[in-house]
Amino acid sequence: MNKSDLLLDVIDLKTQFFTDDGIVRAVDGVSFQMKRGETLCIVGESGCGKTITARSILQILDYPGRVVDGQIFFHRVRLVDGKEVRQIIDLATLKTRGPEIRDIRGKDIAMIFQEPMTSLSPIHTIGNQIMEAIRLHLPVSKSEARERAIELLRRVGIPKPAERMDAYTFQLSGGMRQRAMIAMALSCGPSLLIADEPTTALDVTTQAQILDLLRELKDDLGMSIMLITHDLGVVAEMADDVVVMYLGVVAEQGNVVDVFHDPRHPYTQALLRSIPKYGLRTAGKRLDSIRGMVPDPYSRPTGCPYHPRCDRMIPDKCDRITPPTIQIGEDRVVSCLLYDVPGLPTRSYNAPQPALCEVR
Amino acid sequence: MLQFVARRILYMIPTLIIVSIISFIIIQLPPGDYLTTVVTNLRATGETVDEATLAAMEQRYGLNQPIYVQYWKWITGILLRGDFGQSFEWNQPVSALIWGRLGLTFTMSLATLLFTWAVAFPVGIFSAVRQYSIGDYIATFIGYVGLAVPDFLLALILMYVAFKVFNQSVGGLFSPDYVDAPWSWSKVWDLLKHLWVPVLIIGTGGTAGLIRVMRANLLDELHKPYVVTARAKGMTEARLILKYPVRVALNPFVSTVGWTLPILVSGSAVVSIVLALPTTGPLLLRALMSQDMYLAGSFIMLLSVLTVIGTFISDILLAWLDPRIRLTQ
Amino acid sequence: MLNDRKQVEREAGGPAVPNNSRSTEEARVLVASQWLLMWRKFRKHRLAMVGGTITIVVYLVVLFAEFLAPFPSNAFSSQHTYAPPQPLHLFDRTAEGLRFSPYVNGYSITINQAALKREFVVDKASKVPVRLFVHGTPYKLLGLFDADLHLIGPSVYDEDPTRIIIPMYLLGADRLGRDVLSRTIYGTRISMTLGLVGVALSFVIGLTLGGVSGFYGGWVDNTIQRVIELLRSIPTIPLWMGLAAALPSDWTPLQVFLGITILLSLIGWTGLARVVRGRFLALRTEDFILSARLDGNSTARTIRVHMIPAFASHIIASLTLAIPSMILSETALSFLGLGLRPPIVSWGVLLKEAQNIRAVATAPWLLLPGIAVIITVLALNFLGDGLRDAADPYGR
Repeated sequence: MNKSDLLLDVIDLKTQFFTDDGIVRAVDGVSFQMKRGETLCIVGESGCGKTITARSILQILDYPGRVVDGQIFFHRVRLVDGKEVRQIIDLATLKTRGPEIRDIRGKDIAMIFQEPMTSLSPIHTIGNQIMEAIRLHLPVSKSEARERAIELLRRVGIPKPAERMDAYTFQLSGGMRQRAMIAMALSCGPSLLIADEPTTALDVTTQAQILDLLRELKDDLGMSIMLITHDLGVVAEMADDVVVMYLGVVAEQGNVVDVFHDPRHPYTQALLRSIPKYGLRTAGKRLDSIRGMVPDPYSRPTGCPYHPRCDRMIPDKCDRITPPTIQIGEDRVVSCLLYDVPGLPTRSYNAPQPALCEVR
Repeated sequence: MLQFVARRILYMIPTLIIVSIISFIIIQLPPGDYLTTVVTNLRATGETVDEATLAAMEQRYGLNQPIYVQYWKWITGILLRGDFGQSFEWNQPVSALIWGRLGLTFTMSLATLLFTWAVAFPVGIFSAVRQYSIGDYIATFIGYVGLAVPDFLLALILMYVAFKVFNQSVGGLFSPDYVDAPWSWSKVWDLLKHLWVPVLIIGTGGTAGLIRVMRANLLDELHKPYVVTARAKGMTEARLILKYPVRVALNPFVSTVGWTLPILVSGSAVVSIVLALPTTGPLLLRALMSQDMYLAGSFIMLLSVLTVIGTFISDILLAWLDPRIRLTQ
Repeated sequence: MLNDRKQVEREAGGPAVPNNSRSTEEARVLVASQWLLMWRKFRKHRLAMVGGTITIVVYLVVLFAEFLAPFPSNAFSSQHTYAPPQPLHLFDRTAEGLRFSPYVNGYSITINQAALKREFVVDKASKVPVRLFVHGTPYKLLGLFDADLHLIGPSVYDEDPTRIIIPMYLLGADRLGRDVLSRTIYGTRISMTLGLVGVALSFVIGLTLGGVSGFYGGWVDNTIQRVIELLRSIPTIPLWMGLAAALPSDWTPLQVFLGITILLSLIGWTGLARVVRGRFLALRTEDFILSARLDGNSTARTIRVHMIPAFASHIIASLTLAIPSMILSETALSFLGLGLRPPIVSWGVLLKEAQNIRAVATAPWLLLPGIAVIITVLALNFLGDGLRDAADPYGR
């Protein structure tokens, strides 16, 4: 992978929640890389740590969650006085409420959420909230911010944007709300947009429109999208690369075509089998489902977290040994003991990079 | 918005009518009618009763007519002529007795409301944002105690302490020099110097309640997704908390005026009696004890009416603050 | 909501998961009943446990007031008006050393000729023996059994139950030389009973109207809501004062007690009605209620079998929180002289003795019933808060 193409390099990220009843290891050693300009989908069942991974990147975890280990290298490119300034910043080391991370939030990395209704303030106008996002990071006057906000609303396909500026969330439809949310996220031209299940709360037609919009914006603005979803259909439609997560670890990562056509991890294989296919019933077959449920967060299985549900579990091995991350192709890793055969290289990372270094 | 105000006013009218009916019933509750009370009272003081006066009074209050006619005469007298009837104990028109005291009662209640807010708002925010901190525990504890100690007991304890430790009385709203003086700036200043004692006493319970309300509301809001959104925009923590969750939590807080105001007025009645303040409380108690019913009924009605209007104003304020109410109803 | 969640868990915990990693704790959650879960959650709330314990103790005092109080509530001694509290000594220093032999010091009384009043000084030299489980003034325990045992009392009682001949004023004496401790204990009985009866009455009104309001909605709901708003917007104390003053003065104490209770609950039901209505409205739209109705349950059965169990816990919590405000209202009214009147003894009636500053200055112990009010109200509030949190055992 070309070094300058790299946007985000997450290494062994661990995020834990320190509750009264014990420590929940929501993200337990996640590593993945993201290239500039690509769409990366993070996919997995509810409770597998997708959202927590995304929130760890921006350091906006709810109390009592905390990033306890690992690095999140963000390769930032900014134009300063017409010159391109490149920086590599380890987001995991920044103070959660400090000015450095606040400078990145909303400006370099923006985020949109699942529920546009509750993710926007119910008592402030759309315009107010978008203009605020603009003026937090850009030195513009109020009227310039307003112009820009109207332009953004028009860009995301909201009709009569000047009028909609003064609308409240409850006066808009679900799709319009999500568009407004996207407009707000785009307001400072981020290089990475994290979309946390942006279409889950919307109806199917609106879902398709929003996904189209995201794809179009990505191409026009040259940003990268990290799309978190549990919907494999969305993955197939949107992703360049895909990260499959299970219980706080990465099961498999790779190019979407490779992963879909040749899934290696038993979990990925089971996930893909569980997609309904046309003609399945007439063929007299039942739809496969993954047996069991995601286990209780307080009692993680030992060894491979997937072993209690795995059809190909190796007794006395999977329940004891934590599988290493195994490189099985270019940009293709899997974390499963089935592939832990001598000769295949386990993935090793470069020596730790300095937390903050400038490359001009 | 105008439509909303109009609808609230429409809602308020039946409330006011019912309040007046309840007050009238209270006036009528004691056995015997007003006239017999007056006559016995006059006879007791050794005055002769003039038949013509009696007849005039009978006519004025419609005493020999059905009850609804009496109510009608009473209420139209109030609305058209400002005539609340006669207080036989003071031998004066009720209207001459009540306005000054009502004014003081509401000055006191409003001052208490402002005090309650000024304390409860910041403390509530602090308690919620720093949940489970020592400050939060202290605020919660004081809150509980404030809820459990009756107003009048607090007044008694304060009086006792002032008497024992400072050897002075904390009763009254004015220094002796100013009690009968006409209103002037120095009298207002004198009032303010005395007002803090009852305000503190009446306000404690309300403040405790409001801290709990503010804390609970804000705790609900602090973990809402829109707060995360604001954080993801890169706002500073202090600014985003004040702009979003506090602003949203403010709405139910404002709506509490509706129920704090009646409580404050109630509290001021009891505390005034203990501290012998020249507000409605002591006079109302005395009127009730001596069955001076026109005076007592008028007090109850006017206290209720003013409270209903206060609640109405707080509703309007709430609608003005909250677009969800203003635009969807 | 509760049942919804249960549904999910039932599916989750089905036999499809023969899975050793599922912890036993979780298995216990899956089979635990709603009430068991609430008890577990409640137990974690330490203040609520303390509040609950105090509440139980207070109600035991209500039941066994005669046994706990050294004297009847109306026993007096004209010799001992405003006598100060006598500290209780448990051990006596005798020739053989320290012995368990409780006593209080007697008084030395001087008459201040100028102020024309008795002045008491606790006399360290004189000892008045005190007995535990002493046979004193006879009474009927729980209204059923003849008894004359008192937890604590002086060694000698007068034949006349209304007389105190040997002073033992652990918490001091009032204007008529009556024992403040005994009167506070009897006051507990009246105030707590009134709280319970009043809340029970409010509950009947509130449950009926709130339920009707929430279940039928529409104009019924509208009307009832208007009435609630009306009652809530009137300052209660002046209104109660007006109504209470109208109670005939020739009523017997019991009639007054009932009258005041009814008055308090006539205005106090609104809070409960709101809770009931809110729950009803929230439940009405729940899927499990809809499915219960689609299964062909009648309205009455739906309410009884599916709705009431789902909000009973919330109602219990609200009831607990309603008792203290009832007690505070009674105390305030009686304090003003418009509520209960002597010879009934309630906390408010007792505090009326402390109404003027001169009485308080002479005998600050007259404020002690106020401490009883504060402790009880605090305990009930803690208990109620704990119950309210526990009422939603699946919540945070």
